Amino acid sequence: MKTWYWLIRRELWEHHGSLVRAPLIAALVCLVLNGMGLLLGEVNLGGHLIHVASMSHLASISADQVGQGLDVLLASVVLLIGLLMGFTVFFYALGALYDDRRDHSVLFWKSLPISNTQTVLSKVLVALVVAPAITLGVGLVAGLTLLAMASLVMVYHGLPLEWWFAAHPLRVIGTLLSLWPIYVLSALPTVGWLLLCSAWARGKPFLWAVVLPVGAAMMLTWLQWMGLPNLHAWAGLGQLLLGTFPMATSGLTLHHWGHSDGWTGLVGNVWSAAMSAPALWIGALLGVVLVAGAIAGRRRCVGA
Amino acid sequence: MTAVIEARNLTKHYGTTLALDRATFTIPAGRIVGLLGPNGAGKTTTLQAILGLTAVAGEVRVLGRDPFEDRQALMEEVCFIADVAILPRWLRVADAVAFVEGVHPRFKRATCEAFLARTQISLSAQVKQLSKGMIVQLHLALILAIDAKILVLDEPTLGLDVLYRKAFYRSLLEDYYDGQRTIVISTHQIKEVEAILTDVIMLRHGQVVLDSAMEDLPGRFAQLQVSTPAAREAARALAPLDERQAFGQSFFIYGGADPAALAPLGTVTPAALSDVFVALMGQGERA
Repeated sequence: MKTWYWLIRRELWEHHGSLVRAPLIAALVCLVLNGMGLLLGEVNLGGHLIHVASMSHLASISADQVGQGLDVLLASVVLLIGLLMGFTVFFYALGALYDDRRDHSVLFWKSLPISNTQTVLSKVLVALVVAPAITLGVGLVAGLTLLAMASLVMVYHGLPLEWWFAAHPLRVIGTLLSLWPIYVLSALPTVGWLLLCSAWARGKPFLWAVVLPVGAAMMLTWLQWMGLPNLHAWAGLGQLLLGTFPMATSGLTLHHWGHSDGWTGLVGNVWSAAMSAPALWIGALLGVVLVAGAIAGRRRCVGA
Repeated sequence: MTAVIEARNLTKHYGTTLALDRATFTIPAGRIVGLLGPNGAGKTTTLQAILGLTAVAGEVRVLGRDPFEDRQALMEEVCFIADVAILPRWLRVADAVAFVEGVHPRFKRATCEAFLARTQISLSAQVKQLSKGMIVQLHLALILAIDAKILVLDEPTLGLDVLYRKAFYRSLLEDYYDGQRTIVISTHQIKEVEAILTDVIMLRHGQVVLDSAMEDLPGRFAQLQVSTPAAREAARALAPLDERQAFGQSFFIYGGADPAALAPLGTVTPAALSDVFVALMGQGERA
């Protein structure tokens, strides 16, 4: 247990910039830009925009709609930082077992009583659990701050306070948490593939990781044109390369989000749709095999 | 005396290159062994096989374990410094100490901190801010604080100035070596380690060409210094391993020659380790 703690700490030391500082900066930029927008509205238009909107539509806007708008605001901040995480986790996994071979510090890490399996799994854990936890934490704090800023403006302009209570921050948090397992399953093949390339490549892991599967997908498409059955090569390619972007490869469409009845309905809908897709499970299974391959590579390769 | 490292017929190919060719040796506990050889002789591959970093053909046992299959358990009792300046650049000194303390059951923080206090290294510094010499000091501080049975050093002082090199070996002898622990040093800076070794293993083209205790060397290798052309011819006839000229004199190195046969020709002295090294490494190259 102690070893796991220190392995995770080690990852956060090395990747502090991309795993911790980057989401913090993104959240700050998001808040500053939104704050500037709100101020601009107040100073230049004297809050006119909001007044006009509120006055003319006051009758037609229901508290529910305002609440939904606020919910979307909160969730979108988290998803924005989640998009950033898609990039950072991609490059994190790609370098995780390569960078220390390139600078030879792998020999230092291997001089300690830590197994290759522990090393590789600690990196999987960072990609699937630690990075999303940071994203969720930073995103929620930023989203709730933004919500507070927006409601301050609303109250200032005399909009009914009970609208604020129409928002459902807890429900949003619950929904986002419920998506986590789907992220873990859909990110597994990508993280596994990138770690595999990272562990085995003698150089240029990015080229191996990207060019090889893209070439394979093109080949399969060509074979399909030649009359072979459709193997869904491009969907597979997406699962292999884009899984670190939350929900990008889960097979969910807006359709699954729209037709829902309350929170439990939404989560139920999304869960059953995502979890019943065989591609998700096949991908996750492949991911486990790829991680095993990365462990084997870590055992054998000390140079790059 | 019990053997802590046993290697039998170690063989390793890199593509078509033969890095190790049936290398066989045994290292008992409590020795300081120099693993010597020119570049490409297989020193690093041998050490990697001992440390479980690479799979090799043949049999290798370290403290009774198979290093490749059992590296994690082995590393609780074996330490190594694989090369100079391989600590990750982003690591902070204090974090490095905390990490090793966190994962290594035999690490003693107080020992490490006491060693670091004698250096210029600041605990808040990052490795990239340290000089090469200081990185080696930090690595040494981390390693010396581990109560291990075997310490393996691969070219530990490469690229360091003479002050750091001397200090390195002094720390090794004074702070670490206790007569129980085994130290294996691979280097080609022979003069530097000559005085501290108890045993020497020489590798050439992946084969063990010499495996001897240091105290046995004078009996096995002799240097003959001759000054007349007649004596030189006679000396050449006695199958020397090596011959060189300096200051109008000829120096011959003999392995296993009868001192009584050499003495009439000139001055016989025990051969220096570096001369034995040059003689053995040249064997076959000139033939």
